[in-house]
Amino acid sequence: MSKEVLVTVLRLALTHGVPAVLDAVERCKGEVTVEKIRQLADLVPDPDSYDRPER
Amino acid sequence: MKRFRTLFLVLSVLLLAACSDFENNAYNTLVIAGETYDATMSALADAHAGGTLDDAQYAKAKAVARIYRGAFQSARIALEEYVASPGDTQRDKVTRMLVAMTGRLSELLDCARGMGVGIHDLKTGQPAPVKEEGHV
Repeated sequence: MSKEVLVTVLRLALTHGVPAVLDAVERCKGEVTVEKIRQLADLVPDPDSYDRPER
Repeated sequence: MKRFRTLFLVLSVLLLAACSDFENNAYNTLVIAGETYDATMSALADAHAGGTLDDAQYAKAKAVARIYRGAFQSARIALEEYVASPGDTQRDKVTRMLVAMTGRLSELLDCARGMGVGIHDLKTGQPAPVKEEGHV
């Protein structure tokens, strides 16, 4: 693992405010269980749920 | 959009390097792919709300997203079954499903990129997507 990779992740998180970085790390902690895998279903909701209110 | 791929690849390398067994690798791949989908869909929805994407483009992107979503859920269920009852056959199935899911994710990313939507379009601190009732 090079320093370059780490710097890239940090730069992405800082410049784009990507909460996915922190969330991904948090989810990947600990043992993989059936329950944890089931919870991943919520990570990919139906595309319609992303619709923003019209302006 | 290139940044989506960079993020996906970099996170994959980071997380996969941290673990050595199949279950963890497969699980982490699903997490990263899910987070990438979430970021991509948020950026597409922002672009549509902001007028950058028209209704037809947004509908097309959502159609591609639904295909990816199906592949993600299939891979997730295959891993769930593998963890509950490990075996070589189930393990091969998980691998096949993950490869297929990655392909569908690439299609979604290519679709968004073709529409000029990238991670730079993602607003920070955005609340979770909520649908307004009675709003068309």
